Amino acid sequence: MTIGAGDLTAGLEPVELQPLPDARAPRSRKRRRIPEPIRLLLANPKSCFGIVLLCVIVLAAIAAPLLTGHVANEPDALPRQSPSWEYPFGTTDQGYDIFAQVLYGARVSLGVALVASLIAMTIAITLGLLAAYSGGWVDDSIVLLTNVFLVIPILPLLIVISSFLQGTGPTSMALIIGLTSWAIETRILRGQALSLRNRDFILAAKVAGESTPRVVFGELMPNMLSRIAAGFAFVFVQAVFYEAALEFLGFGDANQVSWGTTLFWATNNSTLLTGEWWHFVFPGVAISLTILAIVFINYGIDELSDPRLRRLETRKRRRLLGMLWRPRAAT
Amino acid sequence: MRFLLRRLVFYVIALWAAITLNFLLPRLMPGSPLDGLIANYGEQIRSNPQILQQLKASLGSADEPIWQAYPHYLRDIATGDFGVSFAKQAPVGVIIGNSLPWSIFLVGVGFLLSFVVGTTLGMLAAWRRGGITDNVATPLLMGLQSFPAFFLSLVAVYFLGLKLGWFPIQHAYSNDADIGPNLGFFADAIRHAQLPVLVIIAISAGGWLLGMRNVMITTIGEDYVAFAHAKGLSDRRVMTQYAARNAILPPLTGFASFFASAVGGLILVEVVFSYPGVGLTLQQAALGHDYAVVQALLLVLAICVLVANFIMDCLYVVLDPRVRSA
Repeated sequence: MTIGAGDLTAGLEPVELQPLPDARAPRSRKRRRIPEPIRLLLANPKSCFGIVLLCVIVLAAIAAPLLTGHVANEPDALPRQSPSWEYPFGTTDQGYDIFAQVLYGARVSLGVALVASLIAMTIAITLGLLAAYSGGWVDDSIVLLTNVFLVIPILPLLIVISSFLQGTGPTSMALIIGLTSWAIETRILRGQALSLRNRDFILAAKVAGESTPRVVFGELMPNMLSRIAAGFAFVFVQAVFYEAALEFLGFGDANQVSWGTTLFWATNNSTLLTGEWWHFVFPGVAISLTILAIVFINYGIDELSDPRLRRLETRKRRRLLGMLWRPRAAT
Repeated sequence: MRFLLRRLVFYVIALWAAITLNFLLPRLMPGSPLDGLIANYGEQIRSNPQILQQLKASLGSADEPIWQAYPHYLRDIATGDFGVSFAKQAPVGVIIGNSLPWSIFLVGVGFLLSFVVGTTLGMLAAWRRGGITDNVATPLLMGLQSFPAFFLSLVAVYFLGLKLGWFPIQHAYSNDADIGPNLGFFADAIRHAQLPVLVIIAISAGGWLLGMRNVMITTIGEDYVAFAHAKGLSDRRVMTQYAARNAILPPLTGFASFFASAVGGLILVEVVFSYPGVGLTLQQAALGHDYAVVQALLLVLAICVLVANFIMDCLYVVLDPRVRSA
């Protein structure tokens, strides 16, 4: 028989833990406002880089009218111009300004990805937590459904659905991407919920007579927020990719300006062969930077949750880092 | 054996689900796909009433209720009758037969190489953490991974193919190639596959590297690795036979979802390179609303993923003795 935690502490007086004196207390008064996880992510160089990059991209999308005088969906520039001060990213063969297209296109691309990942995560959280908490046949059937969806290739499925839909817009695209990319996160969240299921606080809530949805969403879910945030980032990357891929392949609304459609026109008008590299490089770089930003944020999340993955801090590296990035402890 | 049998049962269920999904999709869509088809290919369809009948069977219509249509559809699939393509005026089976071998060739070579490259680099990166491999290969491959497949293909075509002229930029073989089982044709096909395969390695090796590296960092700390060191085995032997041998198992279990998403990358690569595989055929059929081809190809891709997964399961049994005895 194993000894439970209760037996060990049974004869001990409860010890009041004194908070450790915080050496940086006066300095960090202002930082208190920032929630703990975000402060940790900002302290990690990798995720800090990702967060800054993502903020720049989002701000550029929001402030698009301030950054460019050109319009994205009207040919108001000279055609086939290579990048210059007037046209920072060059122009298309039809006379569209690519800088304006990348800025305004970000709104559609990021918006679709955001809605799609919200849909996918809602499904994943509901199914994953319900499966783990309920067990039995509910668990079995959700696991089976998830596994089936995991082996069905998503991009072909999206292509087939778009083909049947006869023309998709941003709304329908967000919907179909969201409805098809929940499986991986469902599996991961179920796994984590399983490990929390038999903790005392869940049992206590159950004994207190809480309803199943209340236990699942009021007790279980708040304890998995970090994993949910990481999952959201992961699904968002997928959604950015699928949205761009579908539009690049010609299944989007070709008149709607977005990163994917700019790339679609770049290949469709065979600008590749005429040497207009700027037509596909800039929207492609925009997509890649967005994905890179989130990959870096996820990298930081991974390192925070698993200290073994942290880099070995050799003295040389620390000195190098110190030049770019002064650690707070050293100051 | 029990393990493989259980997996096999799952794959049969998954196959049935894919077929059923294929059957339900056109029927669940708002509007009627059939109307769109008649708008595109009105002439051909009206001139051949038999085709209309077949289309109604696969896309759904008011004439045949679902409970009659479903067994009908299953029977067609079981007998390998996928219908006829409008755009190409050929049986769908022939179209699949022409495109599938190219895709299998590309995927087979591409993924085998990316697996070997990724896991080897991951092993070395974990073994000498913070060393040259870890500092160069890990960030490089992780960076490459954040490029979407189509963008990386475009960049490769433009800079390596067009500007530098190192590789042919499109198709699977030269226009004047003598098609058939001869050495010249094989050499030509390999030359045309080089750049697509390179892109596939670039986009998928990073996943293997990171998976291998992260698991191996854990296995290096295990007692049996310390014991192997204590026995006085060479570093190389400890790395490959002890640490890597055990670290390779968890990344392999992630293969299922990895391969399913990699098929998406394959489609994009094929489209950019105009490579005559399943992906390019699927894109063109879907754009042209050639539904017979579209539905059949979705099924073929799903079956390919299932078969690849089963092969991986068999490999897993070979690599992990615990599964065999269970």
